[in-house]
Amino acid sequence: MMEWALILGFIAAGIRTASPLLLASLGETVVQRGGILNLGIEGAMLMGAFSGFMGAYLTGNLWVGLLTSIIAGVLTVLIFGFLVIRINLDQVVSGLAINLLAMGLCLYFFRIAFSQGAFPYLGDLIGPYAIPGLSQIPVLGEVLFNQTVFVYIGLIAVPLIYFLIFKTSFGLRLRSIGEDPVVASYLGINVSRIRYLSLIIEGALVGMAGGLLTISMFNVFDSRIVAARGFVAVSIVILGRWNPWGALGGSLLFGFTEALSLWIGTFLVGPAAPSVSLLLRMLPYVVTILALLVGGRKVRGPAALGSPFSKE
Amino acid sequence: MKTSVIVGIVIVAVIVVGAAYAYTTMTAPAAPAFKVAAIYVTPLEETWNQVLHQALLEARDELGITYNYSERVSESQVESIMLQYINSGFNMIITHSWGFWETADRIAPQFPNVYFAQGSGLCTNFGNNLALFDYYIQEAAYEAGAIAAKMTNTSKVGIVTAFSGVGDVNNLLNGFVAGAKHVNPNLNVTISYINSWYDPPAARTAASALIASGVDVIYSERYGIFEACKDTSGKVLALAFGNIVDQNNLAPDVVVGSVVWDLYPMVRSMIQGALSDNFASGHYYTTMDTGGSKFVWNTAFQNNYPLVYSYSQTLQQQIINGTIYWNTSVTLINGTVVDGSNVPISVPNFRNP
Repeated sequence: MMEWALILGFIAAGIRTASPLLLASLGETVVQRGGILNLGIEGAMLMGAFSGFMGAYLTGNLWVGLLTSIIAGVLTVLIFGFLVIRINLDQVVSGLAINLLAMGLCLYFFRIAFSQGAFPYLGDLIGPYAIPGLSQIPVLGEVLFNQTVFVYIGLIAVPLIYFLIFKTSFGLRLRSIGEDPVVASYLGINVSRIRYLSLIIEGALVGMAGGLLTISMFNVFDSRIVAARGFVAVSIVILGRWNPWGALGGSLLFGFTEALSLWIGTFLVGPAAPSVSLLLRMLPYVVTILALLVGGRKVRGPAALGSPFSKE
Repeated sequence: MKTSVIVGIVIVAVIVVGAAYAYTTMTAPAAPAFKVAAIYVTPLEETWNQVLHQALLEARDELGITYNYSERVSESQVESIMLQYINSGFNMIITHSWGFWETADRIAPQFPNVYFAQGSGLCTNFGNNLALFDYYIQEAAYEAGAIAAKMTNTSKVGIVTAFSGVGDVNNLLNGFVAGAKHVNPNLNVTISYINSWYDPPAARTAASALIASGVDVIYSERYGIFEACKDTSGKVLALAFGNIVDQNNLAPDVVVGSVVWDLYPMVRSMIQGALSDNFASGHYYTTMDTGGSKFVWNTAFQNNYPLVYSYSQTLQQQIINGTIYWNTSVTLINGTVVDGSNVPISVPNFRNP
């Protein structure tokens, strides 16, 4: 009985850890397919986390929080888009600048909204929703089909985004821009428009990934809450070979190895246990590097990824 | 192009107005009073900073001091910020981060007319104007451990903490374990290190691992575990203790109480000492008898567990009276499972020198 509790608890922890990574890496997959490297998703997640919290706190409605997290994610990513598409600034520098801007804005608006020393928190969280029927399946039903809306959206988004990228004319244009925006432009494709659209999709998903942290996983906001998960999502895109199914695999791999590292660390006994647990915390990163070494050496990303594009 | 120009102007306007607002708020005209500055390494909202910030706000209201602060100051910036405050006539500088201690230790002797207080570290140049204080709330952690031992049904309690081998954190872990073993020497205590100072998702995962192994009371030395203490139907799987600040409201059906650090008594003592030319340099210990360390019960649990509450009050009195004590030399916890009998139940020499 205890063993089952351990296994099911571990699976639940792995899925929970993977869920924000899945949403963020799916969004980043879309924009990178169009040749944009957005390192500002850490900041966009933070804005999503902050706005989701504020929306839910001010209205008392968690679903408003979900909406505001999406809007904030989209707006943040569009500011990035404005810098790299309209002004044609360097994508890496702009992404990092967005992260700093997001941190500053969140702290600034938090101060305006709350008196110094206030410790605001939400009275409730977006909890799991049991899918009728499926959640009744013995043992695994509870773990797999009694999840929060964020997990379901992430799982549904995988095939949808795959379809969008590989089976629609939008996706064809997006991919051609990612390979060579100049040629795509000569062929009559509106590069900026397609890239802005891809950024809107990313913003919604990344904002939601941030909102998940403050309206579903925890009930407080802290400017450190994203804890570099945006950057992890960028690495998952590469690990997943710029494919939504790959992003799913990469997120689950990362989520489960992170959960595994903490679970093993918790059950270690003996004088060396704390040191070993410290080493174990590297496990997700070591596994990611190994996965890239084994399966990623011949992988080539979109040819124009990170390159500036100007019609002139 | 017009749209982009307008958007650009709006962004610049927001930043300028924001910066102006922040500037005016942070540099309010100073009254001719005792001036205290605090320097924080992280944003003000962090609980470690909040404890001092609240204490200084209280001092501002009650003692009439002027209080200014700088936040997100790195180790490389701290010296110039300290000098700016000193040149602006500040009477007391409180550097509130471990990484600042060497600078405080070096600067303090150079300005004998300014008082310095360093939040954690290894300072030695106390002279007549440098004080060193730390996160000494192990007495309250001891009380929490004893309460945990009274409330567990499985005789398994756990701790979710940051890193191993950190002295001030180990003080708390030792205190909690010693308190738990004081009630039940055979109690099993498991410590989970998340190896990060702040990573709520990791803390939550660590707590779920503890719960799956049968632990039913957890000391949340790091934030992030409360949501793990209930299952998807809302059933409480484990009880928890908050840390540093009162976190009872964050999860009122889970958090039994919080191990709270209150720096106001210490800050008041320092400021009053400085004002009367009787500043006590050296180590300061935030003890339970001075109100610097306290266990704050969640009222609902206090009412539902009257016997445990009453026991904890007796324990608290014994700590304050010095019947139960441990000394400040701490035995480090090296293993995950800690044998509390090896932890010296010495009690803090928690008196100001």
